[in-house]
Amino acid sequence: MSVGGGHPAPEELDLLLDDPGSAARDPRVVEHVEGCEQCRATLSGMAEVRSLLRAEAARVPPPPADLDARISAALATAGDGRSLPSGAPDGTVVPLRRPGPRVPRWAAVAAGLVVLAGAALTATQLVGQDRPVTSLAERAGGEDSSADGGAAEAAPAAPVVATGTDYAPDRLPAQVADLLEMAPQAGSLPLTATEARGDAAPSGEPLATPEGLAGCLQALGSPGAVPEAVDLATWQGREVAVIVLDTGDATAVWVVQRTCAPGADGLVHYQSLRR
Amino acid sequence: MLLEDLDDRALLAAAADGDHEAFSVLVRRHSGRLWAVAVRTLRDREEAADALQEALVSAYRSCGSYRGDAAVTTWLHRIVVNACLDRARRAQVRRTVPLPPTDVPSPRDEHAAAEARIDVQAALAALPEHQRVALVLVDLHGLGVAEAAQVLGVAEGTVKSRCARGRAALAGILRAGTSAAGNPAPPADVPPATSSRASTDPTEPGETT
Repeated sequence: MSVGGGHPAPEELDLLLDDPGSAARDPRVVEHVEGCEQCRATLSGMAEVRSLLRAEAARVPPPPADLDARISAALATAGDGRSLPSGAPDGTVVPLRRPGPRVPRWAAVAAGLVVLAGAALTATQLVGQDRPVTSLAERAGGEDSSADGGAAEAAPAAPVVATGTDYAPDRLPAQVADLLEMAPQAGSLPLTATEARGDAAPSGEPLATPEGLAGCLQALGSPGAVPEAVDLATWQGREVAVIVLDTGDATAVWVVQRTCAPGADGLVHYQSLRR
Repeated sequence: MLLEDLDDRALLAAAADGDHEAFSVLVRRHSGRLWAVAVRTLRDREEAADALQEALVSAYRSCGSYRGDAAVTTWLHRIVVNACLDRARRAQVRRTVPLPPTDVPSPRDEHAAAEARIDVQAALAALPEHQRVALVLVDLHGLGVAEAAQVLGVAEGTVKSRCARGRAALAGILRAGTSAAGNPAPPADVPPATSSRASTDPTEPGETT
């Protein structure tokens, strides 16, 4: 309390609210407040403020929808290629449904031929090609990777497909498993020279080219990684690329905008699926 | 034992030993409260999201330096608050996103007098940063004074002082709004720190430490 007859400091007024029965209350402060309209008003206002702030405490603006994914992605990048933390929003790790033990590459290709020759011409198509409708089977049997140009050699080859799948958080594990069953193993079917040219892709999708994909992987903090599959699909109705990476004990799924490039990864969602 | 069953210290120790999933569990456990602190401190969702992301990466990289002298949540809060303050200073958020003049009406603003409701967030935004952050931690976030002091790296008395002055300043803003609305009320000034109990502080004259 001021000696010279001034008003109590806010700290002293606040103390009256903190613990009204406390011996710490200065009788001179109490006496002053009783006779000072301004201090009574301030004290009343401070009590009101406490009440308002308590009410305000319950109102927290929601975070951006992609914040969990962004944090997971940032932590994964910070991990410098070590195993990725799970991004499952509910705290659980969802086992990834896998097609079983790895089979020889020729067997996988043969199986793909059989499956796709029959069911064929569903929505699943390879993209990034200079001619229409090319199935996985046709691609598996007819392309000569030796014809690949320098551009393809500059970046790891990855199966880039357009399944038409509309990915969603709750269906992602099963959808990724289906994608991995459908797509050939990474590197087994490198893009052809024509496919390697971005301008040759009918869809004009940069991520259908090795250079574009390499740039995106660089933006995601995984330069040089070879995805198990890349699906130019949709995420809850929005055009995206779904990039699936094998990280050893888990499968990392990156959902990015198709503009993903160095400096702007366009990350929409990230999830790590334990195998 | 599942990671989810471990306490915070065990998770952080595991993360320091290279178990990234342990850190992920820790993040999931506390990200909601950390987000609340970030968004209330920065008052901008995108800025807050960026700050939280930066803070968690920083915490992840430095989890081996955790000494255990404060709760893990306190340690995380400190990193998040510092990231927010650094970001606010760097980006000069308060300058780039100024409050519209009518958000905090003055007693003489007859137009604003029609606005009966005072936006608490806008009023908070008008406070000096150190007062606002103290109020965010203590009044909005529910931290005790001692923990808030640890988060901010200041004495408990300083936190009490900043909260008291912040509340008094907010009360002044509220009274100004009420007065402008036509109700008789005293002026919105905050009593000056004339008490002998209020020692000086570099942050604000009259603030106790």
